[in-house]
Amino acid sequence: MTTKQDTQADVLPYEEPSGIEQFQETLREYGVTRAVTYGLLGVFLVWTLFPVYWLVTATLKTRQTLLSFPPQWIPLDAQFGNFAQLFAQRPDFVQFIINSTVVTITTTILATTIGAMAAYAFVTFDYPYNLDFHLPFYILSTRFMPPIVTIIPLFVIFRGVGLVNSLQGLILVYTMFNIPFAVWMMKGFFEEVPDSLIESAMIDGHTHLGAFFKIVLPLVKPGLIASAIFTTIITWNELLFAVILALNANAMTVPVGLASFVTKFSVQWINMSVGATIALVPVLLFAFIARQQLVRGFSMGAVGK
Amino acid sequence: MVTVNYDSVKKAYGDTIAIEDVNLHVDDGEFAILLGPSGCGKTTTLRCLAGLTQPTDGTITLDGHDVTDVHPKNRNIAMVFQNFALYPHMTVRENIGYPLKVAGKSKDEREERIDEVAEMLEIPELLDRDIANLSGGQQQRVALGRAIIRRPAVFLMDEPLANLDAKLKISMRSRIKVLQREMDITTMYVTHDQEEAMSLGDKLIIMDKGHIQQIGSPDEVYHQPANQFVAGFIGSPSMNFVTVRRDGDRIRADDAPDTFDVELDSEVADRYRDHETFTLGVRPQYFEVHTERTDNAIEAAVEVTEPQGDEQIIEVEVGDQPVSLTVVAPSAIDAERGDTVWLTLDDDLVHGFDTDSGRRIVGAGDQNRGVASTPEGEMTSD
Amino acid sequence: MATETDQATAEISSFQTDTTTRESVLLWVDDHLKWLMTLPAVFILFALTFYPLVRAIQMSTQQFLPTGTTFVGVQNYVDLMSNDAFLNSLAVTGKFIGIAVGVEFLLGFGIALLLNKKIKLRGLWQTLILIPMILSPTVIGLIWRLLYAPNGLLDYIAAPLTGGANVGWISETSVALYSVILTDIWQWTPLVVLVLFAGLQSVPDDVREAAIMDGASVRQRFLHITLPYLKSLIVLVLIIRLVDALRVFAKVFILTRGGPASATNVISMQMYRTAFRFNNFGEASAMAVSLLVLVLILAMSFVKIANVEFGS
Repeated sequence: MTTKQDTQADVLPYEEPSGIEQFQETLREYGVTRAVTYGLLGVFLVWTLFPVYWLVTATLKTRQTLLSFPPQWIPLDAQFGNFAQLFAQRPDFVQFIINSTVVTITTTILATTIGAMAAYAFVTFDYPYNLDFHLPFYILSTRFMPPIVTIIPLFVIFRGVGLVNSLQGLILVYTMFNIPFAVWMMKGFFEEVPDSLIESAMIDGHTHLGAFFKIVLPLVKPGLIASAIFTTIITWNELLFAVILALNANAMTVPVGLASFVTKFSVQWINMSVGATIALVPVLLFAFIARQQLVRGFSMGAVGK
Repeated sequence: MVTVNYDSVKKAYGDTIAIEDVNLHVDDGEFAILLGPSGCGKTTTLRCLAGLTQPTDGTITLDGHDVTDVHPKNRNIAMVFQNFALYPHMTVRENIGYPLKVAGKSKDEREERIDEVAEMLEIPELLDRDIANLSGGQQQRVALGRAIIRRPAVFLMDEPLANLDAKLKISMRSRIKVLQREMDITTMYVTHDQEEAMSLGDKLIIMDKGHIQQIGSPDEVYHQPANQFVAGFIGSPSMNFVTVRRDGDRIRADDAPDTFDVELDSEVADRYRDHETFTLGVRPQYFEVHTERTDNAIEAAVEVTEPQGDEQIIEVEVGDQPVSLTVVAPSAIDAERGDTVWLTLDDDLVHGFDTDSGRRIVGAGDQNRGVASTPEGEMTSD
Repeated sequence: MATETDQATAEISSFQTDTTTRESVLLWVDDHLKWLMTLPAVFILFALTFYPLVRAIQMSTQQFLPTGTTFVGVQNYVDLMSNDAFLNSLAVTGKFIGIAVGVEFLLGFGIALLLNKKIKLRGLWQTLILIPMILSPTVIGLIWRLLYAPNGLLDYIAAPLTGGANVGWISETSVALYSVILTDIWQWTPLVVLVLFAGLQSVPDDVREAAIMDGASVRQRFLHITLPYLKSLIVLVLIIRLVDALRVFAKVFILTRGGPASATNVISMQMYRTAFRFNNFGEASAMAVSLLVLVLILAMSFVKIANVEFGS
C-alpha cells in the first residue's frame, strides 16, 4: 500500500494489489479457487448423504455382507426379501406404524389449528395487563425447557389418570409440544393480513370467526402447510416421550419399536435397517414436498424477520 | 327513507379522546362528507357507523333503529376501504359477488347481479381476472362493485381515492358522484382532501381534533365558515389570516401598521364594533393587485410568483415583521420578485374572526350570514 | 328507487327481531373471540407444562419408596450435590454441548462461506443437506450404530491408522462420547450452514460494494462489514443449538444407553434412569428442577450478553 503515503494526489489512480492479493487472483484465474470450493462442498455433501445411503442399501444385504470387511459399497444380490422378513419376525411392527400414523395426523391437526387460532388472536386483539406480550412469550419460552423436565411429572400425572400407554396421552403431549412452534410460525403470516380485509369480510356478512375461517386462513395457507409439515416430522420422529409414556404394544410408536431392535445383548441388524428405512421414507417424502418451506423455516427467515 | 343519526357520540381509548360531542344527521340519499386533517376523528366517526369501532358513549341510529351495538354484518351497510381490501385469492367475479354468497343467494341470482354491477361500472371484461393483475383504478371499481351489489342502506367510503394517482382521482371522483346520484343511496365519505369534498358532497361535516367544526353545504362552508379552522381548511390556496387592530373604520395590521392600513366601508366595519382587535381573513382570490400606487391599499413586496396558466399565485410580504400574504391574480399582471404592488380588498368578501375563540364574527345585515339558521349547523369550535 | 330503499329498510328492521338462538350464539362467540381463541392453547400448555412443573417441584421434596412417598424437604437437593453420577452427567453434558455446538458452528460457518461464492445448483444442494435435520434422532442413532459396528464401515476406514484393530467406537470409554458428538455434528451442521448462509446473503450488496470502493481487503470486509451483520444471527443459532443439544436423548439411548461406564451419561439419560429404572421420582424431580434453573440462568445470561453487546 505504498501509494497511500503519497501526499501528492493521484500519482497512480489506483493501488497496486498486494502480493497476497495477486496470488489469490492467480489462483482464481487458474480455476483453483473454484475447484477447491466445489471440492470441499462436494466432500461435505457426500459426508452428509452417505450414512443415509449406507442405511438404505443395508436393507438389501444379508447380515454377512452388511458387516463384511472390506464393506460392500454397492449391494450386489439385492435381498428384497428382507422387508417381508421384518414383518414376519416382528408382526407388531405394523401396529407401530399404525400408532405413529394416528398420533401424528391427529397431533398435526390439533396443534396447527390451536396454534393458529392463538397466534391470530395475539396478532389481532388487544389484551389487558400487557398479556399481549406475556402470553406469547410464555408460550414460546416453553421451547427452551428440556422436555425431560416435564416428562417425569407428566408420567406420574398420566399414571394417575390412566393415560399411560394410550394414544390419547401421546396425542395430548405431542400437541402441547408442538403448539408453541405453530404459534411462532403463524404469527408472522397473520401479521401480514391487513385489518381492512377482515373488516370488509364482516361488512360483507361474516362474523369475525367466519372471516377467520373463510378469508384469513386461505390467505395464510403456506404458513399452515409449513407448520403442519414441521409438526408432522417432529411428531413422527419423537422418541423420549414415546419411550416413557407408551411402552405397551397398543400405543408404541415407530421410534420406540426401532429402539427395541437394539438391545444390550444383540442388534438385529437387518431388521433394524429395514425398520429404520421404512420409518424415514414418509419423512423424506414430506420433506421433499415442502423443501422450500423447510429451507426457509430452518434458515429462520434470516432475511428480514 | 334511510337516514343516519349520531347522537352525542364519543369514542375514547383509555384517556385519549378520539371523538366527542358528535351530533349529526344525514338525510336519505344525501352524500355526506367527513372532512378534516389526519387524526381529526373522521375515520373513527365513520367506523362507528360501520360497527367496526364501538362508541364509548352516545347512540347511532339508522332510520330510527338503534344500531349502536349491532354487529357490522347485520347493519346492511357497505364499505369501500382506502386500500380496497379486495380478497386476494378470488377473481373479480368472486369478489364482487361475495356479499351475496355469504347471504346465501343462489348462484344464478349472483351471476345476474354481478353482470349488472359490472355493466354499471364498465368492467365486464375483467370479471374473470385475478385481483393481482388489476390496476389501481380497476381495483377501485371492483371494490365499488362489491359494495353496491347488495343495495345497502348506507354506503360508507374511507378515503377510497387516496391511493390513486392525480388524474385517476378526478375521473373516479365524477364516477362516484354519478353512481351515488343514480342509486340514490345515503352515503358517508371520509377524506382529507378539501377539493374532493367540495366537488362531491351535498353536506360537508368538517372535523378537527375529535370535534365537529361545522356542518354545511360546500357553498356554506366556503362563504360562511364557522370558525378560523374551517376558513383556513377550505379553499386553495388557503385563506390569509392577519391580526388587525380596529380604529373606527380603519384596520391596521399589528405587525405592519404603516403598510397595512386600510379603511373599510362603515357597514362592514360596523360588524366589528365589539372587537378592538380581531383576525382578518381574506382569500387569495379576493385581493386586487395594482402595480401602481393606489389609495386605501396594502403596500407589499413581491417574494415569489408561481404561474398557473390563466392565473398566477403571488407570495408577498408586507412590512418589517413581515406579514406574508398569498394572492391569486390574473397572469396579465406583470409583477416580479422585488417589485412593489398595492393590494385592495373587496370589503364584502372579507371575514373577521375572534382572536380567542376563532369563531367568525357575524353581524346583522351583512352579506355573509352566519350559519346558525339550520339545526344541525350548530358547531363547536375551539 | 323507492322499492330499493324500502327493501333496505326492511332488511335493517328485520335483524332486530331476527335474533335466533343460532345467531345469538354466533354473536356471543364473536364478542368473546379474544379469549376463546387463545383458551385452548393456553389451557393445554398450562395443564401440560406449568402444572407438571409445579408437581415436579412438589415431587422433588419427596422420597419415593415402594411403600409410599414421604416428605423430605430439600434433602434430595442436598443429596444431589454429592451425587457423583449426577455431577458426572452434568460434566458429560457440558462437554457434549460445548464440543458439538462448537464444531457445528465453525464447520457450518466455513461451509456457508464457501456456499456464498457463486455456486451453481445451490438450491439443490440446500435441499439435500436438509436430510439429516429431518431424520428422527432414533434413526440417526441406528444409522451410526451400523457405522460404528465392530468390523463395520468406520473400522474399515480407520484401519490404516489402527493397523486393522477395531476401534471400540461406542464401547471404549475414551472414544464413546466423541462418537456420539460426531452424530450430532453430522445432524446439525447443516442447520448452521443454512442459517448463516441466509445471513451472508442478506448483507446488502451496496454496503459491500462501498467497502470495496473504500479499499478494504477481503479480510477487512469480512471483519468489519459481514460479521456485524451476522452477529445477531450467530447469537441466535448458537442459543438454539445449545438449548437443543442440551436435550440430547435419543442418540445416546440408541448408541450407548449412557455407557460405557457413564462416559456418555448425559443429563437426560441420567434422569431417565433415575426415574424409570430405579423409580426414584423424587431424586429425578430434584434433578429436573435443578436443570431447569440452570437452563433459565444460561438463557437469560446469554440474552443479557447479546443485548448488552448488540443493543438489540
